[in-house]
Amino acid sequence: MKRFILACAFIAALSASVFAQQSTAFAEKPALVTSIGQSADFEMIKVLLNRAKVPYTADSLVKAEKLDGSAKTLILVVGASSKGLGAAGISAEAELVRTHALLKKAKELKLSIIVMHVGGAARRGAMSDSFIKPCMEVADYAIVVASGDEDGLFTDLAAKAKINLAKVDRISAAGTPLAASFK
Amino acid sequence: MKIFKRLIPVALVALLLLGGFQSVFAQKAPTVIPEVVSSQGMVASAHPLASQAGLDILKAGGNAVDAVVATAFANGVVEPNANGLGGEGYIVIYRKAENKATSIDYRSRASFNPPKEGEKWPNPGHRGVAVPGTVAGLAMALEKYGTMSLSQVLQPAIKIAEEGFVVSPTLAGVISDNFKRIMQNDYLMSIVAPDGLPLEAGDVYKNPDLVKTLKLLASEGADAFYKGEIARLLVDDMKAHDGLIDMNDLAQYKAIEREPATGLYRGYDIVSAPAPVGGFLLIQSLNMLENYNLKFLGFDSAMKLHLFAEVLARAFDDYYNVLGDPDYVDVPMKALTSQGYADAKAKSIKLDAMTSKYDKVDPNSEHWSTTHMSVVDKDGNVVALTQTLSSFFGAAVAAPGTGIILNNEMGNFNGKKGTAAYAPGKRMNTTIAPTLIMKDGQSFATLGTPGAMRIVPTLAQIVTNMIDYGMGIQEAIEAPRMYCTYLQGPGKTTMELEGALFPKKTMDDLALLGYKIKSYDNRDLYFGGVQGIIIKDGQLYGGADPRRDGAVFGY
Repeated sequence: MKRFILACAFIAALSASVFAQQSTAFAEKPALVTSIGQSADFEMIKVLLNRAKVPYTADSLVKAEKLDGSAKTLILVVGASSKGLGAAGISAEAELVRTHALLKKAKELKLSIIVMHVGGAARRGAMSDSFIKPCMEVADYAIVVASGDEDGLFTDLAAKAKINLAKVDRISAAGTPLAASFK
Repeated sequence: MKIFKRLIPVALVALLLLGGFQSVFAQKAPTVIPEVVSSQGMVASAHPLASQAGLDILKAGGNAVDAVVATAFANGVVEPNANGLGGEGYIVIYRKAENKATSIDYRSRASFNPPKEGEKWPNPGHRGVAVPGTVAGLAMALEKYGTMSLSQVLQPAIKIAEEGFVVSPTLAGVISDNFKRIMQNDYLMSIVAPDGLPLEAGDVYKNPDLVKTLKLLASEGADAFYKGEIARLLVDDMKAHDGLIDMNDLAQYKAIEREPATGLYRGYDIVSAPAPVGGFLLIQSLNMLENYNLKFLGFDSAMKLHLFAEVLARAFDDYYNVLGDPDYVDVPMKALTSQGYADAKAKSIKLDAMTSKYDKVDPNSEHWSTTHMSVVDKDGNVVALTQTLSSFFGAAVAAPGTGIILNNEMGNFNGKKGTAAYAPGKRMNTTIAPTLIMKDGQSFATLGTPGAMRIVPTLAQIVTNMIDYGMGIQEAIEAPRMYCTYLQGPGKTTMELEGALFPKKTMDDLALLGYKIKSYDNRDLYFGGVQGIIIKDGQLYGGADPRRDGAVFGY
């Protein structure tokens, strides 16, 4: 019985760390939100930012050279959509090049970086994962809908990057940790 | 060039070894979804609640037409992204007692009101909406070949709509993918994103206005849609948003019974939907494939996939250049589906090299969101029905007060010339192809799929999976798929396929043949969602597509 209680306590402690949210607001306003993978999830994050009354600029295809420091926080809406990439007229390879350049410039400008993955399992797979990994390496915080982390990819990447990861059950619930991360 | 040297001798042998093998049609490999077997009746559709609706009608004594109409109305409720009262479709019916097949065209048609000069049909938006045919088509099928009343077969749909249903991951994904378009219409938002964000998997989908509309149809019949209260609400919405459809367009809409397109493939009769849709493309593709021993080429070889690309490209040439509304243009359906025409086209195919350009053969000398359902009843009547809104969520507009999401079929006229060009009141071309297969005067299978331009390629693969490779229906549906219908020569032609499910050698060989590869990680909705039933030795074998929320129920 003792062993069972200890095991439960261990699992509870582990879960608490996995579901940890950013305890203090760290991100400055205004934000720049962009898509990494051109999925429609980008539109949903705009709705959440409007609800949270966070001032932002949205540019799904923003390039590194457009970052000038006027936005203090970069929100990356991560997840690939073949249809979205096609509609945007950009290949997956070109999107990855844009992403790497964007991340490099954001770090140079010392922007806070928030990764948001709200598409669940549908926004996972080889193409999506190729976008997720470089973004998580440089992120300061990540907010994901839990069904997108069933294999623990985000949990592992967050642990490696030593950043907090907020896992929520549904898209609308992502608004709370997102709003709380802004000063 | 090494691959060519390897392929040439194999190709020559393959060409010499045509035909002469026994198919089994039994499931040989494990499947993601178990094959369903029954003996009395069976319904396969893209949603369990829709299949259940059809099965309940069969058990209540309805025939296959009653059941498919009930399934179609119910499916319009539970797959609002893919079909419904604001859409259209095509139905192919085989009546055992008369040993006769027929088809009903309920394609949407253009308004008689002309567009602005040079106008491109928009998506999203009301001007992209064509006059819906679903209600007229289903009512005609029921009146001519069913045994129940419209009110009776509407009851399952009304019940589902009243109770609401749980949003599946598939539907949630489609709503999410189309959110940007949906956001532009407040009324549609109130249905699929009632709290401002898309409904998610596990949420309950409700559309109370659709309940009222379905009840009105049940009490007043199809005229309520084309001349009555529903028509008035649709036209009010059109007027408010600069749409073209008026009361006259709705009142003049008629479903049309047509002779099906027919062909023969390795001794099996193929019965499919005729112009202005894609059944002839399937028949013509199979006619070309009949020149080759597919079993010898192997199911998953690069050479077989290359052959399909060559065949499909030649067939689709006619989709762009010959097909049109038969009420407006002459479509030589007999020539297009003739073996001689297909043989002439196939002559230029090389198994070891990709075609960059091919000579057209004169047919007169010989020529992205839909859903499908198949039904067989205890008396041996068989039905295949495919219906659509064109794009997922159609024009991304819904008419306030009706719960009806409207199609964007007018977009099918964009960029079309010749036989496929726009004209007032004309039906536009599309590739849907609900299909029946007969053997020795007996029904053998009913099948169909959504998938836009992938419809015919997917069906050609399913038919050959069954007939050439002897797969059972579920195995045939789950087998990996390819899509390539436009050849531009090596280095310029892209083949899309479920690459993770094909051998690496196949992918390497395709690259050596000059194909650019777009590979999908797994079975993907992009390649369609086939529903089908095989009838063999008094048993019914049903298959549903795991790429969608397909479900088969039998008794």
